[in-house]
Amino acid sequence: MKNPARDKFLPLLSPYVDGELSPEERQQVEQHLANNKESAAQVADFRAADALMRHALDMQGDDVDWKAFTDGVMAQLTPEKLPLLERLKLTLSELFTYQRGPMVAAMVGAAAAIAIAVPVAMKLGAGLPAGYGADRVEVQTVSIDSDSSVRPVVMETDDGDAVIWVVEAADRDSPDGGKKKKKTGDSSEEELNQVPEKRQGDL
Amino acid sequence: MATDDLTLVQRVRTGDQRAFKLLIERYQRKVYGIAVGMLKDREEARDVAQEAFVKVYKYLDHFKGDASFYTWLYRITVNICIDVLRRKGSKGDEHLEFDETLAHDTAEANIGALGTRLGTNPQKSALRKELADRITAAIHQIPEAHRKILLLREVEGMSYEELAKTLEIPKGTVMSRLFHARLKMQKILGEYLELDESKAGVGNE
Amino acid sequence: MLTRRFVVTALSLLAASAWANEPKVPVKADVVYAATAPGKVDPELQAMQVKLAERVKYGTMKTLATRRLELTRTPSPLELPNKKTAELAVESLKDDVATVRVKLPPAEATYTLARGKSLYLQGGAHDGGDLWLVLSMPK
Repeated sequence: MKNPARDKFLPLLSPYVDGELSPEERQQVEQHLANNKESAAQVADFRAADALMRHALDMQGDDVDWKAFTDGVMAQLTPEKLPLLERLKLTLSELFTYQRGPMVAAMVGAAAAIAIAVPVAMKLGAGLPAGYGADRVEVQTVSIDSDSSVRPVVMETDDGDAVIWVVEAADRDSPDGGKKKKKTGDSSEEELNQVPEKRQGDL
Repeated sequence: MATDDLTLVQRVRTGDQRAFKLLIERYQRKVYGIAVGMLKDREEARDVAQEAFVKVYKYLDHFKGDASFYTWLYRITVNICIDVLRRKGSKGDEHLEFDETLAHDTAEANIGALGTRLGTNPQKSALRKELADRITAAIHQIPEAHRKILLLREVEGMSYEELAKTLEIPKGTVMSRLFHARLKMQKILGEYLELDESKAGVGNE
Repeated sequence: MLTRRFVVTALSLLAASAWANEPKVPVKADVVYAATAPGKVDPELQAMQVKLAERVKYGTMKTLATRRLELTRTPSPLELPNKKTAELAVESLKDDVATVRVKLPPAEATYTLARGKSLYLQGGAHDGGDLWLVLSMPK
């Protein structure tokens, strides 16, 4: 059944619920609502649907590991994406830390600013310097708590990675059929038996 | 007193990544809420939500501070969602006007059913997960343009002014579009929750 | 082309903060769950699966968390889902090569960082499988 008053006010009910009507309009709508059950019910519907939506979507958030989410985002913020000033600081600090001698000498006075400007510009173009990274991961020491029953097994792969397994000391047979000591093309496996025993207190 | 968004943005600009972490933590649930409302796949919504933050960080220099931070953040979120939907073949806003006429006529059947059945302020605790999932599925049935504006309005409570800025449409369009979006939502929710006239008038719960 | 004023400003900032400071070595740490039960292996973990297959054939692998840390001589803690806490610190820095000390009870190791390479450290049992800590240099 069509009701002219109701039709007139119907489109205003939505902004009314959102509080976006002018004071005069709001007053008119409220007067209408007092006299029109269907419109009042429509407003109730709008409000209920809104609340359901909000709660339902908020509940979806309960399924998410938010710490992992935040960490995941932070991990994607790589150095290249840093604002220019921070990249500059990072690069300059590396220049000073790793090449102290000649750089420090050149630091005196504003002229030094120019002298340094050139290598910095070059470095910025190349991205982070290759400094503090070797060609391959090299495990230098491994130690195990003396009161533990495990032993470390170190594998250095051909392509430069390293794996440190921590296995049960009694475990002479690994799941895939025994400890292998093989020097194949893929990787080499060695046990570090000569590692000094580490007591808890030594840390 | 929590630090406001713009101060945090300033700090991020000077290289303070921890400040960005605070921004993520402040908005992550809502960004995800919007993404989950736009996209059916939860994993995808999570990826998109993360992508939105990464993008915001990358283009932080472009943020002028003339609009609020979250307006910008949500706009990016919604745009990424739209891109995903396009790639999947969704055609978007083609039938918008047609939908708006239709919605108006057919919504009449269920007037009062929702409000009566559930009360005007259903408590969150009363909402079981299955119901929440059904409601979310209902949201996915709403046409894109209506869905977009409803999500921004409900998840963040954005004013019409802010909605106009975020979606880059006139305020009058915001008003009418939200209205039609709500009618659509009401109709679909009514179907999903199997409410009909025979059940109306059971009384407030 | 950097202007003179810009570089001088940057240098004065540097003097205030980083110059006398210890180097900060950025490290990416992934916490990976691996189980022998058949299941899904995250695509980015497939190379790791192959490397570990030498010893254990994992059928399920999933990245649980990724953190980016800035290491200094003071140990940075990293909590793992199996209630262990790993600690990472810069051990030394010589000839442009950083050595990192990682402590993940009951094991402790020092190793040299390498660009584009990773260290995989077994980190104890968890949830029917093993936890691994994968350390690499961020890109």
